[in-house]
Amino acid sequence: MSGHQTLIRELARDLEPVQPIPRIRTVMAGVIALWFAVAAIGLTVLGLRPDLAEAMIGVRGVAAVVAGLGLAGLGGVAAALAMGVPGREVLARAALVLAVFGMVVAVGVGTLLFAMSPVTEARVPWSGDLACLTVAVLVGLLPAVGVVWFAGRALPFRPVIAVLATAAGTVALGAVTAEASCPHSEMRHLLVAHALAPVFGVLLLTLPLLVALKRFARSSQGLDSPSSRLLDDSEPSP
Amino acid sequence: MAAAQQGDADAYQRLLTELLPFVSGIVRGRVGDDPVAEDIVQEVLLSIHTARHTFRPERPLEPWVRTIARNAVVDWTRRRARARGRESGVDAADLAAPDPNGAHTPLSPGVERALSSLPEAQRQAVVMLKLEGLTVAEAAERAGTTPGALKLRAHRGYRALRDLFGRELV
Repeated sequence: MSGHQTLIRELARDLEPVQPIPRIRTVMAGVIALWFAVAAIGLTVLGLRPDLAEAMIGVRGVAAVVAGLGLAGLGGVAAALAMGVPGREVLARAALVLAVFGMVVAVGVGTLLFAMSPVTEARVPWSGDLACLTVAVLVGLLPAVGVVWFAGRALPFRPVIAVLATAAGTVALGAVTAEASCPHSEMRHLLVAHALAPVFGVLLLTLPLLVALKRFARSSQGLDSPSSRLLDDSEPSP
Repeated sequence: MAAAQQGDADAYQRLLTELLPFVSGIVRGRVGDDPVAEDIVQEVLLSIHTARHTFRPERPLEPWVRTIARNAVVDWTRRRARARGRESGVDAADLAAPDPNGAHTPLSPGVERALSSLPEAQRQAVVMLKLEGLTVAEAAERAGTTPGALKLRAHRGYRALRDLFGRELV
């Protein structure tokens, strides 16, 4: 135990005041506010789809896809935030389950709607799919940076999973926004460009967000940052 | 912990001392009576130190410590698996004998100057780990201290070097 006591004394000598990280719910509210702000700007530029109410209520299942994306978005963001805070694993796991459930609903219902749609339905060109995917990713980008900023300040034990949840979640929120401005009502487009948007988000954003996470971890707290894995670096590289 | 977050070193020392049996219990519950359990306990103490800003005063302390301890054990298990993988991939004949004088590649004058400005204990820790390529355990043994304390010295040394080079670059 004397070795431990020596270390404890050294740690106490090394002690400096620290600012506790913000509450998860505060950051969550901030991320949602950011999403609303970006979505409002996006919808102001692109305009709301004229048949929004009709599409949500009139076409059975479209509302379920949007609700699934919303759940995936909120769950993914909450999971990514909770993963950075030791002791919040239950919240992280529950949020992750919610996110996966949301994705299953969105993709499942989207697939069903596509399978049941008439073969003669007019196809939206790929450029239309790309436009909606771009809107989803762009709207999700700023909230994603917000989540990663928090994760960089905190202690994500599994940074890759946290970043995957961030990318999927924030782009899911972006896809909800994209749906509100989308002029197309074709079911293949709904599936590919909206329900599956989080998958594209993961493919596009995971790597840059991981780099951003490392940068935030280093810049926000320097070498003191636990997420910079400084102490692990004490082991010499092979 | 709230007092420790505000910089109260006495409260912090008391807290860590009180947490020690709890942390030891978690670590031993996972690795058994493995001799490295004591090293992992020190890793946990270091992790608590570096992660203290992630504790919210209104939340219970126990799950927070438990997670940090569990993650430290998982980290250690992964590192050990990686080290074993490396060892099995190296032919013993390929290993060069270590220089008995601890000599290493010559450094630029700027780095030499920065290193020499560090307190002796920190300089020694950085040199042994980063330049001589010793493991933490080997370096700790040579310095006559515990692995945890050695890591803390290296940590302070890296921080000081970073501050130093940061100032020079500005």
